[in-house]
Amino acid sequence: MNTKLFKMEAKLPKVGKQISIFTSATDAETRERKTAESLRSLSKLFGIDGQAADDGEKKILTSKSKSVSIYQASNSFWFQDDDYFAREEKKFSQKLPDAKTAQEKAQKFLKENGLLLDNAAVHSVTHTTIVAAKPDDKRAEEYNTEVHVNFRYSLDGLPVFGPGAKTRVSFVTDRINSGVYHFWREVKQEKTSRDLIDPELALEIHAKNFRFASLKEGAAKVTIKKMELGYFALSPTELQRALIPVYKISGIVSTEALPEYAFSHHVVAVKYNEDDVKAMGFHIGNAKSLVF
Amino acid sequence: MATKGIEWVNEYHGRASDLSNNDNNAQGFYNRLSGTKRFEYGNDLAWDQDFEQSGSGSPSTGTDSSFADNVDIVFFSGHGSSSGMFFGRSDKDNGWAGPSELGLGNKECEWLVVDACEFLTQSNVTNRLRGAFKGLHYILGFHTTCLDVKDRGEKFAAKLNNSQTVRNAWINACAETEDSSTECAYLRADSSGTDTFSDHWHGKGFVSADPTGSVSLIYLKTSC
Repeated sequence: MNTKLFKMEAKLPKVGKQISIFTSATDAETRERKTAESLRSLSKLFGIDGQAADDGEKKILTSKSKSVSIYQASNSFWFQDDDYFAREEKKFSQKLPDAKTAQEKAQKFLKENGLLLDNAAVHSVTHTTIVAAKPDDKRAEEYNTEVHVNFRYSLDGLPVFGPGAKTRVSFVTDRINSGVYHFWREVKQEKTSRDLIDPELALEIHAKNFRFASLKEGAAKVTIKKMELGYFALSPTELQRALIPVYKISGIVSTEALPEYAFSHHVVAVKYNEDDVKAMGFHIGNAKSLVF
Repeated sequence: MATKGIEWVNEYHGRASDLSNNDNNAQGFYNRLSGTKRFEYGNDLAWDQDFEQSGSGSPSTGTDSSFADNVDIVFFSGHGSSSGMFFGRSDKDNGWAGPSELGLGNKECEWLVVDACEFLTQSNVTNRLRGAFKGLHYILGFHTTCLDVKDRGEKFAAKLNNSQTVRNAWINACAETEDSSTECAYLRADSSGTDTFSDHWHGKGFVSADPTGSVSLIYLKTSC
């Protein structure tokens, strides 16, 4: 790694020689069956009846302010109640549950409905935050209108990154759910593991990526702040036959020309070729694209 | 007929690290959203002055009335921060469109989408961007960093076409393309008699009158 351009402030992750591969069933029959099952169970759970619309990606049930969408590629779902979801009115700040209560309620809700998987854990409790400023008012008013309990997933002790591996349960009171999404693919561990790229090599691949090719020594600095090994789950709208083993590399770029900015990249952590790309359904590009 | 325009940057010529997906991201939006295409400029044809109001900032070379403020919705995909949207060249003004240089909506623009990191960071956001609202309804973007993805624009457009509100469509598109450490955001304006909260894309539902004069600003951020 060119140390004149790159500065390493992160600890290299401690990793083994190999990494397990987790695959997901993507055949059409299985997905159609799962979507139909989800439609039945979620319709009952959220009290939404009627004929589901099909927008090509999702089956959508709607009733008044409530809707639930089932993503056909991943069997993920999203429920939201527009009367309460991402609202701005201050009245929604009055009865918000505290973080501990919200967390307990969320876990209970998921457990009772068979949605709390063994490999899920609470990652954070966050809010929908509003800042309201009247005309000529320099001191804006700030308040929260929703509490979100965010769950993340792990496999083999490694985190699963990406938009397709998260569950969120949101509340406006300790009794009212404003929304629930559950983005996860059911996976199974393959019998054979794959050789893992060393963290040092992954850093080298990252540093030699075209993204940094035009940065000039002395005029730019790339500081690596964090490096983690895990898996990447694509958007719930995408078919994905295998979770992608990745190193997640986060840091900051400073240049003379522009204010500094943060970045987060993923480097594919196994050697793979076009056959793998096709068989595993990696949808991030091709065998020449190891950084995304 | 509703009009749309996009600008995107992947090549930064050493001014910043290059990006990979901003062409696909913006073009997905452009090709999917119903309405009339008015402009697409990418890489060295994307200029900061296209978003800036004439006479604002220094240098004050803004030409937004021919570009960003000449369409109903304009979508930028590239690098950004609370300091502005970053471009690949500096000889068309100074290389970034800073908050104080924006003044949209006094001609046409209702919605500005900044698909870039941290343009809508919460700190001082209503003061920082108040000047951008000259009839503009919304700025949609991120409080945090975001990923360089190829399909958020298309997802956003599809949801607008499906009659979701503008705010809902953005929040949903961001949740489908980011993990929960990312926080998406919007900043919208309202004035007497307007209701931009309920805005839809043209032809897909209610669209508020333009908020003008003394406007209230409402900022929302939420985890994806």
